Amino acid sequence: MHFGPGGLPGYLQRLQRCYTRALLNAVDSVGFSPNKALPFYSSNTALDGLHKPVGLVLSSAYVLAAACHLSGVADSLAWLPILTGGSLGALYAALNRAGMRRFWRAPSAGLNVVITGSGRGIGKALAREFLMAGDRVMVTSRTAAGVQRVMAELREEVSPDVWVSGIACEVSDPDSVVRLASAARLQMGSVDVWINNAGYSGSFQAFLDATPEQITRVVQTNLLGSLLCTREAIRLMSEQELGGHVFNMDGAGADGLATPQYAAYGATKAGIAHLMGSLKHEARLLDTPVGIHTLSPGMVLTGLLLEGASEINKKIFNILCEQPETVAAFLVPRVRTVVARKQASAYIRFLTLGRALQKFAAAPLRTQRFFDKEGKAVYLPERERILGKQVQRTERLAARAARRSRELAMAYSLSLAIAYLIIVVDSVTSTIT
Amino acid sequence: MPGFLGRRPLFHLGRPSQQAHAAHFDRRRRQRCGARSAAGAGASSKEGPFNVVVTGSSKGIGLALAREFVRAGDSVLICSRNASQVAAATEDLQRLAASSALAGPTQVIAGAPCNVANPAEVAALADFAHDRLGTVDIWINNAGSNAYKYSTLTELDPADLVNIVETNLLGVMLGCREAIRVMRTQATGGHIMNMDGAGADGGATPRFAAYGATKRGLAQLGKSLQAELKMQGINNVGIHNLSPGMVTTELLMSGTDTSTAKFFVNCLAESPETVAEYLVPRVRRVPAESRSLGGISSQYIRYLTKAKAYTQILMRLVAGQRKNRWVAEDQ
Repeated sequence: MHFGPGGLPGYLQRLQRCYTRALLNAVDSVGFSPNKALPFYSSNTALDGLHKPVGLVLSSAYVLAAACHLSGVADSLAWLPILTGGSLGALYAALNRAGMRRFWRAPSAGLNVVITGSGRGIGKALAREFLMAGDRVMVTSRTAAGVQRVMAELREEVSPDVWVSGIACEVSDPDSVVRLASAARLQMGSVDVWINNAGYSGSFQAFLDATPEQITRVVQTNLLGSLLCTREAIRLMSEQELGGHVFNMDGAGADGLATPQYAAYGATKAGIAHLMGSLKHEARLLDTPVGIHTLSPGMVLTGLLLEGASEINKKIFNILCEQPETVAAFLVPRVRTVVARKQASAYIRFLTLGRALQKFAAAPLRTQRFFDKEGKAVYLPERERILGKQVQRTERLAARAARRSRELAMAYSLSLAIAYLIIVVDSVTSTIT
Repeated sequence: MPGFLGRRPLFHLGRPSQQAHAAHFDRRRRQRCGARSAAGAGASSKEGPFNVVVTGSSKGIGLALAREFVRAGDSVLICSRNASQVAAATEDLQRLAASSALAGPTQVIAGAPCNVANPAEVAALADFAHDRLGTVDIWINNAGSNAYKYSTLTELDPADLVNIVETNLLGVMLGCREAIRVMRTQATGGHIMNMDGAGADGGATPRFAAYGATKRGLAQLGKSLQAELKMQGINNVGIHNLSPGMVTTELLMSGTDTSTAKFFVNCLAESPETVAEYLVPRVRRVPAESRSLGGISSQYIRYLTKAKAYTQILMRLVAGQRKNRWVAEDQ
């Protein structure tokens, strides 16, 4: 065998160096610098992210050891489940970190963002999240007073020196939308991201009980508004050298399934979700790259959802709903990644079918999260959640939503279960033989 | 059952030209002295004749459908935004009724101007239908628009967008709402047919994105409404879909300017008359066939099925059939 320069000792030395480097890299990828892995959540303390990998290693080791001990196997090999669990935990932590770093990308400069219907609810939460990430945001609401109010609130909630502007806009009025586009171009220079968020549900009620005015407003705000704004946004972006990205908001009905009690809303959202497919083709004809995307916020605890909600509705809300700031924390980093990666079209879903099933499975733990048995709201108002008592809870939920990686978590749980099975089977067969 | 017998073609056989005037006069007279009681007395059976409302029916597929219904002996109320076109089409239908073998003395042909996107006008149309026809058995939400142009969303005029969304989606919603209001009180109930179109199945529709989005919304709307009717215990009203496929109307032909479009139009499109001839008998069977336990089962009546479409494309590619059928192709 040929060992290269220095013979066998030299080879061993190089091998050791190689391993040390790999080990250091692994340690580096596991923790210590959350800033690198999650650039959107800059944290000041260096040790902030450390509890996670360590906790994972320890808890995996403990879970597997406890499971094996309780099933009465592997008493003679007590170290095996501990070691297996620990290493699986470490592997998952390392993969998670590496995956996060590979997937996440922040735009090279702050983005210019337009969000329609951002006077409250999810639109406002998105605006706040973009501002926290250092982007410049233009908010809109139907009234000038609403715009002034939300701008003041955002400055207070994020920081007094963020760049936030606003204009009153009725999205179903073509002239008003043109004014919004020209104001955005004038004030921000260019628009990188345009989110058509303005929406109206027309309240939970039978279609026959809805007034024609409500039905008209649902159609005009949701579908016509999205079409007019998308048209204006693409026109604006096709004149920009770097193009831009348009995001439409889907909602219940987007999958084409029936939405009784909010039939008009569901039909408009089905139309909006359909739009992406057609516009993707049309965008290819443009000279500049304009991305056409859809955001799916799932069920969000906002005025739109709560209007006319019954007690049964509220029971479902307890299980499936999230606060707007939590959903925004999930969506915004992904929107920014889409922009940084220059994707042509993406469908970003917060509440996937799998997630919904998971939540239903955990339903007993999720009762009375937002509403008590009488259907009375038990959650704090937005101000308390953002600035007051629940700041830490909100931040924790936001961080968890932002770094969600379901596939990896599933793979981790599965490998832990397989490891347990192997140890059990091994122990059983060895006692038989 | 005088009403029932009265609907038989007693004296319209033969001599159509002389009958035309008499029948017209007969209709006018009945309308003046209260068609409601006359038609109401002959409350429709499950086999017809039916009282039918077709929206957007002064031309295109709507008019073709109306003509087919009239030929089958049904009473028909047509409408469109343009009053003069409605008047002309109504006259045309009345002439047809007079010459039709199946036309009975209680057959009513009427027309009214109506913008389906205007709630007050749609409500007035439903009331008018109720007054003139007595009952409304079938209501077809046919009015649809693509602003007669095919272009990318950015090139489309905002006013056209407003028109497309309001006619296709809002118009159908208001139509369904008013039709259900009238039908739920009728002993014989009623059936609502919504016209689908490209995009209804979720497929992309570049160059008519807004149209496709509205049709996709319609397909979803039907499901929601059917579910709501069930929840509310309204089991005498059915919501169904009609799919005309590609029809050589202004709406389609305005977009036939590329060679691909021409290829598919020649391959797949049919004239409004052919499509109506296929659809109307099937629509007329819906009242008898869609009864199911505890309500009405939804039906989806398609002219151009996938199998038919693929066969025609194949035959075109293999045997060159249907080339230059509607528009001249280059080559």
